[in-house]
Amino acid sequence: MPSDPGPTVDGVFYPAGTSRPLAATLTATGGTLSLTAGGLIRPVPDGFRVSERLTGVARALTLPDGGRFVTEDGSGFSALLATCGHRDRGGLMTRLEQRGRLVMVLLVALTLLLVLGLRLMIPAASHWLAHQIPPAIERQIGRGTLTTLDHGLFSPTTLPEEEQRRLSALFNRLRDTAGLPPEVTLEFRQGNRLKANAVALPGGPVVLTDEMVALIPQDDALAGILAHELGHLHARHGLQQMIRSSLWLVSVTLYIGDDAGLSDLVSGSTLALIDSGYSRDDERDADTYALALTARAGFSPGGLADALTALRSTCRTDCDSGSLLSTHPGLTERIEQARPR
Amino acid sequence: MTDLPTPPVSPPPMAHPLRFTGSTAGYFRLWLVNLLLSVATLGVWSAWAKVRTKKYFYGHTRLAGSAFDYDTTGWVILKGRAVAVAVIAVWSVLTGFAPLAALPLGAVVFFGLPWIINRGLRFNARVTVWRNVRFDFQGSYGRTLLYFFVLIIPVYMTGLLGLPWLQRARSRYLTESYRFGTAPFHLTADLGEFYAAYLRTVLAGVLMLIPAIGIGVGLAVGLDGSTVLDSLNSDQAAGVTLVAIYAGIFVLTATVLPYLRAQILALTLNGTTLGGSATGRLHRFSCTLSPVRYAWICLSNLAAVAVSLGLLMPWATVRLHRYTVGAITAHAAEDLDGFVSAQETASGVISSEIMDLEGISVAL
Ligand SMILES: [Zn+2]
Repeated sequence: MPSDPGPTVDGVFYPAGTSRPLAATLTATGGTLSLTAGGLIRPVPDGFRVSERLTGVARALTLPDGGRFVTEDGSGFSALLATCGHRDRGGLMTRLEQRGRLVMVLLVALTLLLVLGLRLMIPAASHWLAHQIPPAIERQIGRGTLTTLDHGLFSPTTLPEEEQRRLSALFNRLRDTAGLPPEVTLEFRQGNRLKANAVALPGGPVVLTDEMVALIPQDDALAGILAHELGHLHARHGLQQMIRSSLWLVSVTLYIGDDAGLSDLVSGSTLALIDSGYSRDDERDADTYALALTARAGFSPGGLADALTALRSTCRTDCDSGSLLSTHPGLTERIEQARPR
Repeated sequence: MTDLPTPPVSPPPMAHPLRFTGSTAGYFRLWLVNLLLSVATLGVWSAWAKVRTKKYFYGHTRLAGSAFDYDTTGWVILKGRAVAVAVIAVWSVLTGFAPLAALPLGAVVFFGLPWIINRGLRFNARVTVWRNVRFDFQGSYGRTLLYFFVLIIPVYMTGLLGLPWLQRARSRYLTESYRFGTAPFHLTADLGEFYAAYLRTVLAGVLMLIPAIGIGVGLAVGLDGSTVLDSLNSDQAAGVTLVAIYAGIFVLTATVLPYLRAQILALTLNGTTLGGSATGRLHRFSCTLSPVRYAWICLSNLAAVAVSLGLLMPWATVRLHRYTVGAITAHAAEDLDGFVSAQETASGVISSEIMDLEGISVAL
């Protein structure tokens, strides 16, 4: 019997692999633990495990032989562990959990920092990655996108062959002036829901809708539109946007975590909002590129502005107000920029 | 614990209601710290977060005065999760870039998943401790394949008429594969009650569809004459309709599925017995879960979490757990001191994490 009994904790002891409780006491004497249960005193041998601390949850000490001491006296148990120099697992967490306001402030600060960091890093990373992808693979992605669009959105063109040849020649003149490879071709489709539109798919075809040809019959204006799309291709905007949105999606999913199930809700709309800033810059860059390219290819300088003016006339609402939510900057603003001075 | 002879008349069963002793505030604090550390460590902490969360709910769930425990560590979960992520990544790359391999890979999934499910369920059972006795899961590969993958084919071919039957078969298979220590569970459940549960669910779904359709038609008629639809172009109008349809489907699944889940849980628990006692008498369970109340809690939880942008998640989790736990009672045929653990180690954490990450849930 130890002459100087140290701190004790009352609890129950379950012999290895049983549900039979025995009243028990855990004692720390001179830095070593001993367990009194069922009238027997035994030293606690090295290699015991201690369950981590959680507010209001019973603590358990598991002996190497599988016997388990359980106590409801959490603070007594922590103090006992401290006297024999054993680490109190979960102690730091429990203390943090008591400081709710501090944790909240840290969490908000960290989230803001993370979002700012990602806003800087993701566009740079997308830009770099987009330029690492070989043109052959980029074209494959573009072809894949066209197949998808053909299934869901487009229908075959109704333009006469002759008109198609004429427009393709116009397109090729711009493309060759821009120094883009001959694999970049012009495709004609009926836009349906997309209406009057032109789309530059990664690495590959530029799709021109019949509705656009009908809306803008003048070659100079159409050249402005096509040169704008070539500007997107030249800077690989489409690919960058794809990479950007996947990087955002991955980040948001990682942040929210897998057990929230909120990522589905957040993904679409929020990502479009976050990304819209970069899309607006892309449009301005493509306009600037188009002005220079049409001039070099010998088209009249007012073509792009005329085309944008014609597009604005088809708009019913949010053509100018859409500077935050829509991907294109306000048309009026772009027309101002595109007017030859 | 004494050596008195067994009394000739066995005592009536002793009711031990399950109790949840946790609090919303307590779990909110724990959740917040977990969130902070997970963000700060770029997700690595989430393994420890999972253990602390499970330990909180298990440790605050008490039966006959003794709490349950989720007995593993963050390290174990992290290692399992790392391998699981690697497996899933290799998998996505293979299916994404080698479409030709889709068929053999599909076969691998079909025949590999039962094995993964069994190992995952066994891991989760073996880390669950009450007093000093562990649960166990001893499902067989063949029966998991049969009940979860093969039998669904004929059930679909009969127009889902056999679904309640399959559900009972699954519940019985799962229940009877679980062990508490060495003690086996047994399920006696009336097939008619399973059919009644599904019938009630279908009726509830139809009853909820009627007002939904009514509101939809009413809106369409009401808006037809007004200028609201005119100011939208046809794309936006189509978009609004699509959103309305999605919202309808969402609300329906968010209420009808929990409504069914609560009924099956109650049916299963009410028919479950636990053997293995020295006298051969069986312990019983009862569950007084109200399916309507359960569905309401699930639906309102979802709304609260969405509106609060996730901040009410801890409140919602505690609310549902407290209600479920509070409805369950164990009726002990004798004292609960006689259970013995089988000496088994808890392997299979990788499978458990694959199931977690892929959202595979196989539960009663
Ligand atoms: Zn553009």
